[in-house]
Amino acid sequence: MSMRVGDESGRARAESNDAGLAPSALVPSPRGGEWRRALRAFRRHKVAMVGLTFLVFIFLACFVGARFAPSPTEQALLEPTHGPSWDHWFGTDELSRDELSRVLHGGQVTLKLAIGVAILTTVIGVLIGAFAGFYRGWIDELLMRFTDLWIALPALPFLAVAVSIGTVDLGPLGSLDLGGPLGMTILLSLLLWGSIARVVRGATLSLREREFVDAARTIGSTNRRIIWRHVLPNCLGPITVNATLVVAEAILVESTLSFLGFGIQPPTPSWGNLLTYAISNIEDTWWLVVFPGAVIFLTVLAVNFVGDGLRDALDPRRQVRG
Amino acid sequence: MSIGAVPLLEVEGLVQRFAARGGHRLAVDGVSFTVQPGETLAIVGESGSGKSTVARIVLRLLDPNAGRVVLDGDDITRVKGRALRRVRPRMQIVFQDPYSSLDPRMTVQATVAEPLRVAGRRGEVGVRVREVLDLVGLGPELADRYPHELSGGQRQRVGIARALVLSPELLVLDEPVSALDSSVQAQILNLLVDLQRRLGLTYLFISHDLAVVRHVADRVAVMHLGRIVETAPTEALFAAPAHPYTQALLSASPEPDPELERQRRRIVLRGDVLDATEVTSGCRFRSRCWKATEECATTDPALIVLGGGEPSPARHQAACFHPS
Amino acid sequence: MSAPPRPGGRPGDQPGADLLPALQVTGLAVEFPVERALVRAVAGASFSVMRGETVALVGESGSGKSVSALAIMGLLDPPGRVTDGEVRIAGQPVLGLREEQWRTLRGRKVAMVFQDPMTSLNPSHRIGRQVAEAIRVHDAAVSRSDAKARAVALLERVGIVPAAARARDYPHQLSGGQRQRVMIAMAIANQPDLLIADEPTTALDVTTQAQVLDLLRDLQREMGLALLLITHDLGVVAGIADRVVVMYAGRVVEEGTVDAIFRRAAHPYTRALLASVPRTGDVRGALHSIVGSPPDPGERPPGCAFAPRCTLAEDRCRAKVPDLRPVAEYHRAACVFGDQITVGRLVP
Repeated sequence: MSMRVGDESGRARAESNDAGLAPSALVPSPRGGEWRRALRAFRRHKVAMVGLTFLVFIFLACFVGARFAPSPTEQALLEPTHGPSWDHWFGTDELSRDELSRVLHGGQVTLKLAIGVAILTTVIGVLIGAFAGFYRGWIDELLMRFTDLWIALPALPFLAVAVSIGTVDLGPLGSLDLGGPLGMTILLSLLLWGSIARVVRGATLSLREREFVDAARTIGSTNRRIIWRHVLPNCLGPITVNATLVVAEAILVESTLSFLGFGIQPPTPSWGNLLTYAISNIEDTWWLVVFPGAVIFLTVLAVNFVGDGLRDALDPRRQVRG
Repeated sequence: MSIGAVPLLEVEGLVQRFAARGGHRLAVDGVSFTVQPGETLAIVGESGSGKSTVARIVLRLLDPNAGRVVLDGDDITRVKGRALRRVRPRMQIVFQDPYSSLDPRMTVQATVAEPLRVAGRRGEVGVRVREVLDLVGLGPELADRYPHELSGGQRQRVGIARALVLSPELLVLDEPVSALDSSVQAQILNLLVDLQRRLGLTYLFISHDLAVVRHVADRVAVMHLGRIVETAPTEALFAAPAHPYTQALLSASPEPDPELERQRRRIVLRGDVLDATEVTSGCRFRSRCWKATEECATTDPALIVLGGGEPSPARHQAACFHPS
Repeated sequence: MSAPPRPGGRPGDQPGADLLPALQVTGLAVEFPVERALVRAVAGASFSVMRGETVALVGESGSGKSVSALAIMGLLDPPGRVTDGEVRIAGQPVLGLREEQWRTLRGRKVAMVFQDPMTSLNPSHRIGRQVAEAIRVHDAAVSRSDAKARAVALLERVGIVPAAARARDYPHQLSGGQRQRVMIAMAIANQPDLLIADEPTTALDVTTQAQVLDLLRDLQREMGLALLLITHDLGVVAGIADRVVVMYAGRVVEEGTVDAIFRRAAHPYTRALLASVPRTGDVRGALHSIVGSPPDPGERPPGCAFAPRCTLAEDRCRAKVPDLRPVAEYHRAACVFGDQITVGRLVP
C-alpha cells in the first residue's frame, strides 16, 4: 500500500481540479448525480446523437422490420437474380432470395451476438481486472499473465480449430454447436475480454489509492464490499466505453470470420456470411456486396460515434468541482 | 484529562519500513506515545516525518514491522478479520482532502449511513444519520447532495459526520483543515473542539501547522524523519521549545504580522530534508543543525526529561544532547 | 493608483526612473460559459505592480485570483475568455495577443512560477538542460556551451549545489523545494521585468518554504524584479509583500500597503480573514470564524458579495456593489464603511 508522504501538497491537490492549470471553484457544477450529468453531456454531443439515432433505426429495422420483409429463405424462383427493384430494395441473391430481408435477419444474428459478446466480456473482464487491480501482488501477476495469454491468442487458428470441432457435448447442459450463434458468442468473448480486464485493472489500481477506499476500510468494510460498492461504480465510465467498443469489434470480427467461413455457418444468415459468395461474383452482383457492406460499415461507425460520445460525457475532467 | 488513568491509546516502539530504491526506508523508527481519554495529542511534522504513517498504523490500515498498538488496554497490533472489524468502530479517521475522501458517486446520506450498514445496524440509519448531520452543522436538506455539489467546508463536515456515526472513542484527524480555505478552517476547528467537549472524544491530531495545533492540542509530539524529537504540553512547547528542530519549525512558521516578520530573527536551515534511506547513525537532524557536535554524529539521542525526573506524558521531553 | 514609497531600506528600487508599472491591470473581467449560463470568475479587477516591489494577490477559492493570473499570462483555456479590461506588461498591452507574440514575451518580460513544480518540469529531461533551454528559447544566438554555463551559474544562484553535478539530475531526484528552485532559475534566466508566482510555496514544508521565500526576496532585491505573489497564506504575505490586493468573489475588495492591511484593514472581509487565521502566538481557545463560505462564482448575490456574511451589512450594501474608494493614503476598500473601519470607529 502506498504511503502518502506528500501531505504537504494536500492543499495543492484539493484546490486544483483534474485539469491541472485551471483553477478550482471556478464553475458551479450542475445538480444531480453522475449519470444525469453524463446524459446531458452526451445529448450535446451531436456526432454521438447521430450515431445513436442510426443504431436505434438499425435495431428496429432488424428486430421489428424484419417481420414485414419477405422471408429470407423463400426463393422467388420465377425471377432471375437481379439488383435493386421496387419489390426487392436490396435486390435478390444467387438463389433469388430477397437480399434486404437476408440483411435484416442476418442483422439479428450479428447484433445479438455482438451484444452478447459485450456482456460476457464485461463480466469476465471486470471480475478479473478488479481482482487483479485490487489485490495486486501475485494475484495480479497471475491474472494478468493469464489475460496476456488470451490477448495473444491468434484469432483465426483458434476459431478454425474450434469450428472444426463442430458440436460439443456439455453433458447435463446439452450440446453446443461451436459454429452457431451461441458458440460463436462464447468463442469471441474469450478472444475479446482482455482489453476490458486491463482497463478495469488500471482504474482499480488508481481508485484503491483514493482516500475513500481507506475510509471504507476504517469503518470495517470487507474487501469484497469495497470492490462492489466503491471501486466498481467508479469504473462504470471506462467500462461502458470499452463495452461499446467491444460491440463494434465483435461485429467486425464476426463479419470477417463468417465471411471467411469460420464464423456463423449458413444457412443461418449473418452479415459476414452474406458476403462470402458475393465477393467472388462482385462484377455480376455488386448489390450483394455493397448493401451488406454498407450496413456493416455504417453500424460500426455509429457504434464508434456513440463510444466517443460516452467517453467524452463520462470524462472525469469535465466534472469541475464547485 | 486525567494523568495516571489508563490511557485510551498506547503506542510502543512502532517501526515501519517501506521498500525504496536501493534498499528500504525507515518511515517510522521507534515511535512511542500515549493518549489519555478526552485529551488531544497533536503530532507535528513535515513531510517525510512519518506522522501520517503513524496514523495509519494506529488505525490498522498498515501492519507495523515492529511495535504495539494498545487501545483501551487491548492489544490490537496483530488482530485480523472479524476481531479487527469489531475494533474498528472504536477508532475512526477524518482525512485531509475533503474531496477524495468521499466517494464521488455516493450522496451525503449514503456516505454517512455506510458505516452503519457495514456494522449491520441498518435499522438505525434514518435516525442516526440525521442526528450526526445535525451535530456537525449540516442541514437535512443536504442529505441528497453529491460531494461535488458541496463546498470544501461542507465536505469536511460530511467526513467528520461519517467518522462520528459509529460513536468512536478515538478520532484520528489527519490534517483535517489543511486543505480548506482560511475562513473555513476556523469554522471546522471550532467545530472539532466543540464536538470533543460534547462527546468526550479523544483526538490524535496530525498536522504540519503549528498555529493550528496551538489552538486544539493539550500535548504536542514533534516528529522528524521517523522519530519523536520532542514532546510536551502545548504551552510548554511553545513557550520554551527545547529541540533545535522544533525551534526551527516555530521560527519558520510565517506569522500574519508584518512588523513581527520584519523583526524576527529567522532560523533558516541549510540544506534539505535528508532522505530517510541516507541516515546511518546518530541524530537525524545533525545535517541541518547548528548545534551539532561529534556526539550527535555517533550516538542516537534518546528522549530525556528536561529538568530530570521520571518520564511521563505531562513532562517536557526532547531527544537532543544540547536541548535549550 | 500609484504605488506608495516602500517601507524602509529595500535597495533595488530605482527612484523615479521606473515610473512605468511592470504590470498594469485595469478592469479585468473573465467569463466562463457553464451549461446555459455565463459565470464571471473575475468581475472587474484593477491593480498594478512596480519594479522592485512585491504585491501579494490574496484570496480564497472563488475569489478569482488564480484566474486573474492566468488571464494576465495569456494562459486562460477556452471556453474561458477575457471579456473586459486591459493588461499591460512593461507598458505593452497583452490581452488578445496571439500565441507567437506571447512566446516572445513569456520568459523574457514576464515569467511565471507555479505551485506544483512536478507538472511544470519535464520529468524526462535533466534539470540543467531545462534551464539551458529556457535561455536558448529566447536567444538563439547563445551557443550550447554558453547556455550550459549560464544554466549552471543560475542553479548555483538559486542554491542548488554543487550546481555542475546536480545539473545532471532529473526532476524526480530532487526534493519539492529543490524543484521549485529550478523553476525559479528558469524563470529568472532571461531577467524578466515581472515574475508571477502562483502559490509557489503552498505545497512545500514550512522550513523549505522559508528558504524559497528568502530566495525570492533576495533575487528581487538583486534584480529589481516586480513580483506578483498569489497566495492564500497571510503569514507568507506578511513576510514578503510590500503591498496587498485582497480579492473576494471576483473583485478587488481592498488594496493597500502591507502594514495598512494588517493593522488598519478597512474591509469587513479582510478584518474577518485576519481574525480567523490561527497564529502561533495565540492562546488556546475558539477562533473567530466567519459564518458561511465564499459564494460560488455562479451564485453571487447582487450588491456586495460579502453582505450575506457581514455583520454591518445594510440595504444599500445589498443593492449595489460598492466601489473601490480611498480610505487613507495609498489605501482603498470596496465598502461604504471603509473609512470608519480602518480607523477603528466601526468594528465589524
